[in-house]
Amino acid sequence: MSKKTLLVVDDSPTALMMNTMLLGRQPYNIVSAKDGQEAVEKAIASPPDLVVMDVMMPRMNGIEACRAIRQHEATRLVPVILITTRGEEEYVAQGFAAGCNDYVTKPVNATELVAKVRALLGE
Amino acid sequence: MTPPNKSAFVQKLTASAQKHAEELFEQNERLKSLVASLEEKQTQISEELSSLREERDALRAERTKLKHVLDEALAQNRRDIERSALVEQQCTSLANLYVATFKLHGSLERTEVLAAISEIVVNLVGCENFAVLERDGSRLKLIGEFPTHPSPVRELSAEDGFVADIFRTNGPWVAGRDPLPGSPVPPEVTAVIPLRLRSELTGAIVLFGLLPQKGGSFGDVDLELMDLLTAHAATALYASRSNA
Repeated sequence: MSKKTLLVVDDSPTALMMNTMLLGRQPYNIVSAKDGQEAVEKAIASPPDLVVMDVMMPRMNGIEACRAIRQHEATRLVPVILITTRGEEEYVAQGFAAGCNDYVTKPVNATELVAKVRALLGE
Repeated sequence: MTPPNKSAFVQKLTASAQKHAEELFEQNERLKSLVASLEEKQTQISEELSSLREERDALRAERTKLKHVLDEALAQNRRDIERSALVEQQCTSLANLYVATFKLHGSLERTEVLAAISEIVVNLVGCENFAVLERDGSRLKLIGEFPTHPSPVRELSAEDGFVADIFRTNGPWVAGRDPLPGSPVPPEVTAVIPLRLRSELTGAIVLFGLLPQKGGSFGDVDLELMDLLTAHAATALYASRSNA
């Protein structure tokens, strides 16, 4: 069975490296993007099995990127997990309104993130 | 003389009684046979019951044994899960430390080093309200902060005051965990990470609060990251300054 592909998106090289390392320990192919615009382009060009994306990013933030992913036929069903700095209701509500499936807060708890990824991939 | 009809009646009665007695005898024989059969069946059932009881006792013993094995397996499983979680936690901590070190020493460009320090504090420690101070003579001057949260501290003394006191205790200081330094600490300060190069104070990272989801406390990995920043952020800043 082929490995599933995760698109990991963050403008912070430190956070991107960290999340790639955390998820890379699992049996997944990891593709990365450094902002929402690049993430949408990569997702449409080659739809991943799941997207893990930061909210606060330049050019296109995570909420806008999530909305764009939901609007495109090729990616509308791809699960999206948003990484938010703040876990308050208003931020979370914006994420869900944009179509995200779940969220985690920074600093990312590896066990929590991996559990949510597995759940959304039906593993 | 007995009338003929009376004699016939007696004969008939006798015959009837005899027939009835014969039927009763036959019935008695059948009942005897039935009783014998039932007794035999009872013996057989008793034996079967006894055998079933033995089997039941054996199954109960087996069940108790299996329950014990299951309990042992469940306990072992719980221990394995705890161990696995611990290993996972350690791997994450190591990954944190690796990423932090890699990023701190991944560039000699000052802006990139400062960005790496900020990203470590935000993404790995979980604090968006902080000040990165660098020593300039006898002062510690602000060189980095989170864009949306201006630092309440712009400049501090490098020779006296709480940062200098904490530096002399050799390590990061966490409010509520470590004893208060001699000099007063502003109430908004959550932690102080003195930056040390050789035996000199070259700067400090001062944290003012944590992200809400951190619950106001630092974990073991946060303290390890602070230790790492004490030495490695100082070296990285020094190298970037030399390279400028």
